[in-house]
Amino acid sequence: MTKRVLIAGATGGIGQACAHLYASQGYSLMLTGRDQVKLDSLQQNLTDTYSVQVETAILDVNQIDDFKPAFMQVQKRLSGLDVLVNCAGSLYESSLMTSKIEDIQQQLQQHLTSSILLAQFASRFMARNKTGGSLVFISSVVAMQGSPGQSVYACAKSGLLGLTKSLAKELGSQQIRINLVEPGFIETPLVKHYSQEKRAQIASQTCLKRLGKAQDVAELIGFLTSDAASYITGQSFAVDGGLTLSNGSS
Amino acid sequence: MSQLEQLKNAFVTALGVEEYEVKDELAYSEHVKWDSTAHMVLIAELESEFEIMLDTDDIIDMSSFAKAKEILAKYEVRI
Repeated sequence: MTKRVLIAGATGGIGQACAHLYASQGYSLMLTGRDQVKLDSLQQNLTDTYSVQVETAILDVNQIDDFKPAFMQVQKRLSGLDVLVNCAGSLYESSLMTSKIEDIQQQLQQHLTSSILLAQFASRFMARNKTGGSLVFISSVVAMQGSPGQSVYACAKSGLLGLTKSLAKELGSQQIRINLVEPGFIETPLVKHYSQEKRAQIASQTCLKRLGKAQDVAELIGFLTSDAASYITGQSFAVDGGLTLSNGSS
Repeated sequence: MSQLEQLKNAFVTALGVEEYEVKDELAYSEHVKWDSTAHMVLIAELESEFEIMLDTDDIIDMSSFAKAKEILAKYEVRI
């Protein structure tokens, strides 16, 4: 039977890479995001390239009222769900003293609360499957390493580790697996404001002396949600070129 | 099959209880088989059986078979 995947934040860099990967593997896709024009464009691109079912739904993870209608579309269009990947989120950079309360709350909603809500809805679909299902959340190497000016972002992302491990224990008996991916510096629109000098500096700090691509992250996500990873749950995996290993020095 | 029978069957399937146990008094946490995991399976079964999507508040409130009948009526399930 064709597997079904929901990608939240599908029009972002990692989301698009995941969409292409799953489409190339014959999955039926539900792409969600905030911008219908971007969703339509991605849908067209995928259906032009692959012979798969591609559906779209508006789901702004900042809007609690968007979740239920999006999952009703999953029920209506895909009749169930096997995989969920949450790629939605933005990088908030501000010093402790200049972080506004509304921005702090939005980061927590966007990364943490949204992941909880997505898991609530997705697990209800996956519990119907004999083979369960798989969820992947996207964290960041910043979550475990910390970064000045990114305390709020790091705080929200690090909360996903506790969520991942707890859900692995809570949902494991239903064969629902949850894993966490921690990208390092990946060249996506999220970091397009970084200067060339800053990029070169970060690349030099990795073991591999280069920056990552969205495809690098998508490949790991694809593996974790595949049957090949059917005994892996509650784990966290960095895709960072060795950035977090002693600054890449030999 | 009536929708009441559908509902009873959903409870039997999801909770793994005997049909005779499915009565109004059957309650969450009071029957050994209706724990938090079984509750999730029950919600999944009800949503699948009746093609509905329950609100979170209703999932939390669904604390007995009697309450389930009351809640499902809101979703136009005729019990």
